[in-house]
Amino acid sequence: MKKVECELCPRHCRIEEGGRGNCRIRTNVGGKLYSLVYGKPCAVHIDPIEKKPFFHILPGSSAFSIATAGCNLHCKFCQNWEISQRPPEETQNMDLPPEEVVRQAMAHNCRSIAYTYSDPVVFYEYTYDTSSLAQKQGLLNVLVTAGYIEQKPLVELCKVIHAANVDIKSMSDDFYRNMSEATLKPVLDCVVTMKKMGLWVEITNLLVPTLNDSEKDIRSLCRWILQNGGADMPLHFSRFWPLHKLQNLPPTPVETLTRAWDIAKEEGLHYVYVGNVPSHPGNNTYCPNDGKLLIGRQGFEVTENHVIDGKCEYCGTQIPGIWR
Amino acid sequence: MYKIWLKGLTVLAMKYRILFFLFLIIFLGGLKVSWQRAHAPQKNAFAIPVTLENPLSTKFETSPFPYYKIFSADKSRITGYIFQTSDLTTNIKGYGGPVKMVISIDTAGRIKNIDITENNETPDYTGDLNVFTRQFLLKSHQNPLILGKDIDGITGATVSSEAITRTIKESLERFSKEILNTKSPSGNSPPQPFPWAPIIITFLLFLTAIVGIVWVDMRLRWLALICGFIYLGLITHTMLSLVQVSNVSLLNIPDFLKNPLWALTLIPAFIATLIIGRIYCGSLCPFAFPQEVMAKLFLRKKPPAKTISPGADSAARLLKYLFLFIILGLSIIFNNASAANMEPFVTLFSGHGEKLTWGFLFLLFILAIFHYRFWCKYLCPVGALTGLTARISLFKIQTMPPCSCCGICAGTCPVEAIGHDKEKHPVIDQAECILCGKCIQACPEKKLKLSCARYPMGPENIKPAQTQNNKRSSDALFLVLTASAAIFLAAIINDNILKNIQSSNKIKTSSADVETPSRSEAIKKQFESKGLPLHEGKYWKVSDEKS
Repeated sequence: MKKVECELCPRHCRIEEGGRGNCRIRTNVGGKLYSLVYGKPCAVHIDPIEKKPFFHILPGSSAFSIATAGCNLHCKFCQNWEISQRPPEETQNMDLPPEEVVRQAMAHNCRSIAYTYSDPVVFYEYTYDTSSLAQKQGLLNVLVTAGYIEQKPLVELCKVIHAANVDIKSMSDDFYRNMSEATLKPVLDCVVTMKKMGLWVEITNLLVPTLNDSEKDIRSLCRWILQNGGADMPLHFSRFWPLHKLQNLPPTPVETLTRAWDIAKEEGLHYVYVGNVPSHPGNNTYCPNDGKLLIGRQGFEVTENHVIDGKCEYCGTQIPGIWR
Repeated sequence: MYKIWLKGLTVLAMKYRILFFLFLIIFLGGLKVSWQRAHAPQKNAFAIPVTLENPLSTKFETSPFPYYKIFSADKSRITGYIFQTSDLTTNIKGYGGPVKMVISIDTAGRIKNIDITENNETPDYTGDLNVFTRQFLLKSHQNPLILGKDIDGITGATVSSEAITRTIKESLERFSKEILNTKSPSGNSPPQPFPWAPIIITFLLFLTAIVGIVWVDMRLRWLALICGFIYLGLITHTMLSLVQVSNVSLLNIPDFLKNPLWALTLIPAFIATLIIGRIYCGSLCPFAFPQEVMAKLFLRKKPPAKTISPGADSAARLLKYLFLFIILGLSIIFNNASAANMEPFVTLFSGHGEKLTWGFLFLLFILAIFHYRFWCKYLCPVGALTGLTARISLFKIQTMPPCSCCGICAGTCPVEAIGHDKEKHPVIDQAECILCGKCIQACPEKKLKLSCARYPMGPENIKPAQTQNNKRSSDALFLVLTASAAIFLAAIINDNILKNIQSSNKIKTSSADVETPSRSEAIKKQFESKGLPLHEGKYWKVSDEKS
């Protein structure tokens, strides 16, 4: 039997009979490539959509969140390593075929289905099939991904996805190679393609102390977003916790997050957020025109919402996002 | 004597020179290829068959030989071992070479699983070898593991059964001694008795045949024919066949003690042929006897029944050389001497064969009624080989010139092997002469004798010096007959080879990249049992990486 070459992500793993791809969940049996996790998520939760984080989609609504084992990145700072850096044999998997996902999401009054925690790229077939069904039922499909995917499958998937949160971990290719065993360019291409396909994109950047939190890093990230996503593309700065490796580093200090928040606003981005820090003004959405508080958030709970019909209640400025 | 023999060599007719060199090329090429195959670089770690329980928890060791240690799921202790028999035993050969197996044992040395990775035995005779190896499960070096004692052999495939049993026994013994540090109970298989009987009988057979032609005594010849038929054919069914020649070219020479008649037919036959010519064909071949009987009963007219044009006859006789090259070549290519098993005499005496082979046998017997030794003259590849050898024999039947060139000997020769030279003296084509002695008896001047080659010869043509029946109308019929018999034979070879190669290739999985369907099934089941059913993935292609 021949090896198969997986073409889902830039790794192009050549898998021999009985072997696995780098993501641990794709295998070759009898010369054909199979996914081992179709319909077998190991994490199923109902979360506020703000947790993903999506601040410009259906505020206050619930997202039915699923994930399987495996991931095609191996970040040293992974916040979900217990499911992403494990093969499916080592996780507790549930039996949840696509139809069942949609049914349960609707039964629990979720407005969206989120493919998150690990990375929907690796459980591509499950994501795609579930999204196709969900779309027909009027549910929103949102991805939370590292964006390490080949263009062809990405374009296909974008046809059934409404929004995505892409993690740009750094603008340094070296950082990607050393910290995540991946490369930068495919991630940036992914963001550009998603925007072109009309998806709503929000960017997350996990600030790891001393590694990617320098002013230079933050400014280059902001500049790239400005150029390729526009000033309206939201940027979330996320707080690192030493859960996986990098146990020698402290959790990201709040000052670092605040500083990043200031720099990003200074660079001209309209919607900059700070995540994982309750009671920080970076949790709120402000109107870029008149600076008024539009959406107030306490943690992941929405306290006030002044976006009416997608516009600022006070000055009428169009606020981008998916509001219904 | 030597000079005369050498002189004989230098006057080989061009045709036979070419045929001889073609044969040498194929045969020596086979030797080279087989040598290379035997010395192919060893892969580092052999593939573990997936039918085992937990292939992930293994550690590969290399000394004193390559093997795997199997660990428990928590990796705290060893639960078993996996080894490849070819790494542990000497080359114990079956019918077609060593049978290679990957065996897994537990810590007590009991066999948990046997996977056959390389097998060149003839599936027609052995059946599915996995059925045979099943009886070894849970046996260890503590068992006798002796064919006939605690192991049941495969009926009709003793050589294969014996080889596999010995391979397993020896590898188990070595592994348990060197790794498990336990001794096997003493009491090896009883030593083989020296095969005096086959040696003596074969010697007597050849002696009878040779004396028969030297004294031109037809009774001795018939005696040799009958005894050859009974002993070589009916009793032992080990007659001279291309399988032996192929095996030599494949460097697959069986143990003399295990298979004495292999050597006892091959070596004396060739030595005798080098000395006096195709004595085996004429007086010993078990297949000759039935044909001679048919001729005696049915061929009323003095042979040859009809004469045909020399061109057609020469061409037809070349067919047997063609088959010689084809069979030898295919055996070398497929590394499997059983490609030569299509010979009808093998079918007749071993009883193995299917409709096609029995049908062909029947056709040959019908033809034998009308034509003296049709098979031998035109189709037998063994005859081709002995013919090439006979061309350089020390003794030949020849005239002591001058004779009166009456042509009676040419007319008497049942295989039309006698032509004439420029001076009209009879010249016998040694490659076609089967030493029946009829020409010597028929010569009115008693000038034809078996003597050392000293009269340089080479047939200019095989046309009889005087023809009695010049009916050329028999040409067409004859060619049709020969062609159809040839096609039939080619079909048998084709069928036989495809069948044998396909089944031995199915079992041959010595590299990790050649997987049988059953391994894929096993992997699939493994995943399913863990609650991970396979779902077809998107966005992939078959890798063009060279495996």
